[in-house]
Amino acid sequence: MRTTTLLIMAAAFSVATGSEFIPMTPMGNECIPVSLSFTGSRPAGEQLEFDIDFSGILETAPEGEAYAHATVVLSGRDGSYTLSADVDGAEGEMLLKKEYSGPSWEPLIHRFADELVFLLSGEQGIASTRVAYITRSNGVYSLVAATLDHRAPQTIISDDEVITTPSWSPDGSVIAFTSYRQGTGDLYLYSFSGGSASRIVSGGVNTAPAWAPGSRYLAFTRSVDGNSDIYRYDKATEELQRLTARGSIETSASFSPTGQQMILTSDRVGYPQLYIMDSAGGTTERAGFAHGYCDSPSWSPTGDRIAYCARSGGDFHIFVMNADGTEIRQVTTEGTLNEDPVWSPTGRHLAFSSDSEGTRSIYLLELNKLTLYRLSDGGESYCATWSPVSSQGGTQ
Amino acid sequence: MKTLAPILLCFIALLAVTGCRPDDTDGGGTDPDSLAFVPDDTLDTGVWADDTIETYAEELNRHQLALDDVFFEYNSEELSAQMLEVLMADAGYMMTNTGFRVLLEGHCDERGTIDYNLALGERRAQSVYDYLVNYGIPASRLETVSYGKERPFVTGTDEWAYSQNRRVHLRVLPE
Repeated sequence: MRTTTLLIMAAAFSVATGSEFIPMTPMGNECIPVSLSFTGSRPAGEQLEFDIDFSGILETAPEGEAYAHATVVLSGRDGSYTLSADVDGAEGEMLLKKEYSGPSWEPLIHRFADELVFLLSGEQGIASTRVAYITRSNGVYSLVAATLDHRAPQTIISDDEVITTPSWSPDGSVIAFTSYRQGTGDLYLYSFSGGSASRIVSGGVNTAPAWAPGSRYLAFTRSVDGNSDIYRYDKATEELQRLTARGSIETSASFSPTGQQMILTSDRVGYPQLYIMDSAGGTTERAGFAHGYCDSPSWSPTGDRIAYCARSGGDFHIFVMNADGTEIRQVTTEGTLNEDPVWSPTGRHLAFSSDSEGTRSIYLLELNKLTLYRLSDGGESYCATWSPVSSQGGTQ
Repeated sequence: MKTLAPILLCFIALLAVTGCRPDDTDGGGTDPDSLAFVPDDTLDTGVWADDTIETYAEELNRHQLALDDVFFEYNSEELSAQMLEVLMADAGYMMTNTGFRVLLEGHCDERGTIDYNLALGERRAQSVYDYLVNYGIPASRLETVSYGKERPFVTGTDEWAYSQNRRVHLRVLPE
């Protein structure tokens, strides 16, 4: 598990070309070039290079073309590592001098990569984040949280009964999910501090939770009478409020970054389509007419885009559109079932599940260079949810 | 009633001939742990009591085998004419056989999204529920759940596997 997972890089299957995307960095489509001198083990050096290139905002480059130069020395052995980093600007001016230490080298590499991203772009890096997902293997369902290098996937909880639709809270402290352990689909919260999962909503079928910014409100799908509607759960008061009351299916809510609106799926026209609704309920507006079947919308943390899954030519693919429904771009082109896109906390990446290599697995895609790799290995994996940039559960 | 008379006659004859009662044949059927077995009219020698007691679990299993699942078209919760016949038979069985409940499990094939399929499976379970309640099955004997595509009956990515997974499974539960 530990050494072989160095990322099955790119070319696993093709995605749309970069030119279809609007500029995603301060320099347009260009990333900020950084040159790197690394002393230490080869896997660590490759990981640092990968972290920089996968940030979506920096890229490794020859010294002559670089805006900054990083000199990194990793020393030590298992149990005690030290990483010394010096970052200079193009004119040789010192930008950063710092030392990191810890029992294993991976977190040190990720922390430095994130600091470098912040130093040069003013934006948080995602190298230290984690992605949680569901794995189904031999009738056992597990909620797994993995670092992006997948060297230390952690089984958070597992069960013989179905576990599905996890959602990591924006403050990183809990993951909401659905379990059939005691009933017909109840909502649970796994708390990283407590190390345990507790039931918060029961009765009927309760699925697809989505956090509002602030980590207090949870929108989710509830059916107590055979038809699914969107409800809101208040973590502070434990109160439920019904937000939709239609005869059609309403499900798969995702909040805008302000929390003022949500995008959701409704089949009120006879097939599932995307709608935008005020977070308090009320009026909805259809978001796009391009597909016959779409679901699983995810509003980007930058607010300007929505990723979703739609049926296209008999297969299911990932699409990204502007939040106003314009500029639809198809992200995946291979496999028959690409599903459940979620954004990284910076909005520069998507995680989703795909069967393009056979077994349904989690893939991560950086949207600027369109670097794609398979995160999960072994067992069927799906339903990804991304941790925030810095949190109790999100970083190590 | 037609079949009961000879059995009763035989039973009385048995009492008359042997002058004693066979064990565990009070015929009430209310004790869930030891439901009665009524000996048939060819019985002329004694039987081992523990060979003839049908356990509650076996009885539930018999109900399970008697109930057929209901299948659906892609992305639909409509009950076809063929499935209405299946359901009518299930409902008839439930009317004449009591002492158990049924969990209606909605399932979907994998050619759809997780969130929508969870809702669609619930709608399928509800359409079967509505039929059974309208038929006259007490709602207290029924419960619904949706597994969407999260717990498929059959693994596979061909049309046969898909059609097997688009179903409402009638799962017999103890009362």
